[in-house]
Amino acid sequence: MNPDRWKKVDALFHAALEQPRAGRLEWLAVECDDSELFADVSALLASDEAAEGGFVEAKVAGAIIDFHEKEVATNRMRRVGPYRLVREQGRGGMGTVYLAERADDQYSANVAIKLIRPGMDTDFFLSRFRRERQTLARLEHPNIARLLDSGTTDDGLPYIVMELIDGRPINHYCVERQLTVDQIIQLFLPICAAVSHAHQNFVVHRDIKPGNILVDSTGTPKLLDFGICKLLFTPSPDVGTITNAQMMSPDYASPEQVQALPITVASDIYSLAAVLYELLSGRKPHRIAKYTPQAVERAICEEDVLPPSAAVGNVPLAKRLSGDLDTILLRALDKVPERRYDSVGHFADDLQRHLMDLPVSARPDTLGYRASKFIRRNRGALAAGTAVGLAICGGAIAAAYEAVRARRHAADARHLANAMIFDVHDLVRNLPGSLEARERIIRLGITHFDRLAANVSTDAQLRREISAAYERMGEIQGNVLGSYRGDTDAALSSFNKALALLEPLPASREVELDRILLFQRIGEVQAYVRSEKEAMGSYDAALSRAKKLHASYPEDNLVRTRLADVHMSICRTQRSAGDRQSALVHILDAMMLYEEVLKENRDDEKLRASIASGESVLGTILANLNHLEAACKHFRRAVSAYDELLARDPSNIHSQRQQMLAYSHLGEVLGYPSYPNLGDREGARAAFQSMLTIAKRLRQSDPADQAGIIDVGMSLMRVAAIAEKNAEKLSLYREAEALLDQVARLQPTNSANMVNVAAIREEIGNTLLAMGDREAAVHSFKHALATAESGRSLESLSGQRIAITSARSIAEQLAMRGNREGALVYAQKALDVVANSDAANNSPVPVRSLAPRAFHARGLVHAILNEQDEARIWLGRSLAIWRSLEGLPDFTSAHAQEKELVEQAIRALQKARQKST
Amino acid sequence: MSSGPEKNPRDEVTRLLVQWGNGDKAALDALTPILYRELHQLAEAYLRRERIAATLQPTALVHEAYLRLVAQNLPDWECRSHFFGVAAQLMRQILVDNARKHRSDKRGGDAIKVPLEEAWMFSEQRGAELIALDDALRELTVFDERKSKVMELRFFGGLSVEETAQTLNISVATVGREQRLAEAWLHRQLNPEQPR
Repeated sequence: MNPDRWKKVDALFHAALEQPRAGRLEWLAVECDDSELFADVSALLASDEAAEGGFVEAKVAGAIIDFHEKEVATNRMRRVGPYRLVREQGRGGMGTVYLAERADDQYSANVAIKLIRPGMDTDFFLSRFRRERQTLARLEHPNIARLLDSGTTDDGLPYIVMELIDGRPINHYCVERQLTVDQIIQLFLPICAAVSHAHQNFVVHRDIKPGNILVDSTGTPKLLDFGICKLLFTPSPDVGTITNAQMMSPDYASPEQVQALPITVASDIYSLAAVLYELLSGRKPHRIAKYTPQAVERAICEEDVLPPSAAVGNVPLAKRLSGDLDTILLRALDKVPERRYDSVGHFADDLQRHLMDLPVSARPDTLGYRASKFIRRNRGALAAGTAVGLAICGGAIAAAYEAVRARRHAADARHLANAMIFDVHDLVRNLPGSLEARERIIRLGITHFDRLAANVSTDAQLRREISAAYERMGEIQGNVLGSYRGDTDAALSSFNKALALLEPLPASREVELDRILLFQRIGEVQAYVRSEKEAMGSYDAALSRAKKLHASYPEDNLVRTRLADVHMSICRTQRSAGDRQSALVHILDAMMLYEEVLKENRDDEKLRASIASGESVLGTILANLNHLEAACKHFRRAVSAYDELLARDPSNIHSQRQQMLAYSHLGEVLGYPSYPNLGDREGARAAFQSMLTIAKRLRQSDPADQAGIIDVGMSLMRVAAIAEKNAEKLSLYREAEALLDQVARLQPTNSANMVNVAAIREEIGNTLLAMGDREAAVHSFKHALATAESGRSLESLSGQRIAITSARSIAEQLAMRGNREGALVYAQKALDVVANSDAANNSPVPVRSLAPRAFHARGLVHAILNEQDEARIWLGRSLAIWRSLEGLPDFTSAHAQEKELVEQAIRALQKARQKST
Repeated sequence: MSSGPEKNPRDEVTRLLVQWGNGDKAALDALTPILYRELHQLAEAYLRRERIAATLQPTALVHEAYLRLVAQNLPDWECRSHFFGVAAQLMRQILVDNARKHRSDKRGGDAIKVPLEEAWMFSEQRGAELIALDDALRELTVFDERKSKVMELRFFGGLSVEETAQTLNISVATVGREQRLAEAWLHRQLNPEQPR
């Protein structure tokens, strides 16, 4: 390009851009002197349109990542603990292996040190790496690379020191030495022994491949790299472990690995066989055309493996492999795990028998056997769960990335990215067992969208699209009302990113709708985990905007729906803040709006779902206001509304869960002892059983889902409360406690769950007391109290109540044992809780009923210890408050029972006094 | 970094910048390794802090380098713009050198199958892309140096449009125009399969 010509191109290019797009090329044709000039400028104009914003920056960013990985890592990590790194030896899935020596020259032997790779040192990978360390420490076998040492660098990164295995990967070794079939098998058998040893220690390797089997100079094969192995039979410390089918090499992976189904010892057997297949035949068992998730899955899960004898061209070798070895390997490579050998030992035995010319046990391949295929592919929406989900997502993700990297039209790339998020997300969202797939989308999506967001300028459409994507992301990350895992900080971050993107845009109807939703979502998350006050701020923003919008567009159903949704959200929050009247107003507003919309949209499933959940909420509020029959009616309506929804969409997790909750509420109103109820014990029992059934079913379909665990716990609690026999109650409560306690460890900031655990512990105490085991009861009450006091549990009303009544129970028991000091300490604890609560004279009854319980506690202690004057004062105070609350609308039968207890105590006091005089 | 009896790196850099501004070419030679090291450390610190490789914005790095290295009371805008110009050039040099160096580190016959996840972000790919970008920019410099400089300042230096305008002593609108055509041209260079 010569500079003068370029000047012309420059001028024409910019002048052309000033022309309207339609007719631009025509204009250009006229202006250009020659056709070559026209070709150049029009090509540049085309490129201008095609260039994705920020493509240059993306390259630079990529280069910086590179730079960091290569230059910095090795230089910085020269010293690791007492060792000095000499050079990089190789890279694995998440760690890099270095040759190293001791820095203090204590021993002269070299070692191998494995460090987690920079860029991979997120918490996720760190915990994986630490697990590898733990696993290696348990295994000691002559054919497993020995763990010598382990530690943590100054930067806090874990490292593993292993014996340095100077050897060749087994496949190269066999080729270089030209080993015979017999020799290959002989070499292979010790590795089987090593894997067997690992299995006996409950470890599955999961990444067996020739690169992980090195043969050293003495001809000993050694197994390495337990990097992604898993411990069997031990509950995983981080429930959030993603099986992550994509982390191992696909060539030797079993069908179940590729589909992220449960991995067992059979998977290792498969991989071992795949390696042996290659060693014997020189070919891999699968022909994988392209390393995309779809192609990989197809090759491994659908295409048949050729018998090794059929895979070799060399006739003598084919003869040698045919018969036994064909049979043994094909059995071990069966697509159905159960049909393979049931242990590595068994597999090795057959190989051994073959070497000794003894008959082998594997069944010969028959037609019937071959006829059954492993996967029935059904790509409809009701597909087989994780497998299809991952495959689709994987495919869509791969497609999206291909498009971006191939730099097609920017809109296409955007479209694909959106398709990935929206279409695939919706598909996957309602599949049971698809949390891993969703997590994968999240991580990749956020990466992608952060990058897009960083480069987007004033393109309103693009901003809105990305904002919507973040909103979806946030929904997945933090939705605690559905069965998702709750990562609320991440959710808020996503929602705020979404809002930020909308900020510079003018307030059109569409943008306002988006904003309203975001404020509402933010409020929801804040309400669930943080204090309700922050949530109300967000809700106010949502509501005022929604109302304004409704005033501008009064017939618009979308606006109506959005406004109704906000009302519903606010209703929920105000309920948990205790403001029932206000909650009732909001939900009635919401239901009215929904009904309006339903008139013109009878088949709108989402709307029906909103109405169904509205019925449930309405029922709850009415119940809290003591209109029990009305509440019952609405709960039953809710249950049948969900029946209707589930009839159309049976695998919908959300509907199932909501129905479960409706049953829960129904049962409570019918006959749950802790709440005002209609006294229908049988009805309550039936409702709670239905609740438990659904909860268990949900949990089974997605065991990693913490909300599912909570639901089972809550269901058990309720069935327990209704149970007649104490033994049955106790066992159910304990079961519930174990489950919710598990969740509490993983979600220490979830105070709602904490409070439930406290409640269960208190009930256990009560049950034990009823069974006569005072000692154990006190222990439980103490545990309940400690739980109620932990974290932010005391910020909730229930938490406070439980703390007080548990303390009271303990105080009572201690007093009965004559331990005055101890009893008063606990009575004081109860009083302290009251002192820290803010109960004014206009607070609702439940709030004001904390104090009389605490006073009762103190009075009870004195009464038991026969300190009559003191007792009378405190009991009197308690009774006075109860009496003042008695006439009020939200004074329940539970409160009445409490009042009755105080009156009984006073009467007992008077009797005792009369006796003594 | 507290000032002690040792030379404060900031003062050192400031001094060198001023010298360079006064026409002392040798000052640039002295400045280069300091800047190099600083950018190095910044990149690493940034990545370590963020821990998610893909969200890096190179724009942040050079600004931070400037703040850390240069005393705040440097009055002369010319010096600053010199600094940015140099830093941008250096950044480009560091990254390209890195990419070229490791390009020859091709793995041998043992075709290790890269885990699928990594395949998308495989660094050899990134290295090759950067080299291609660098080559394209060099080509551009031959017939239009200013556009190449704009791209270098904007993307390797992380300068804003205003800062770029001031550094090159042109208007903001001109920067926009230069960038736009430069991007179109680069895009075309890097995607030869586009229909002509």
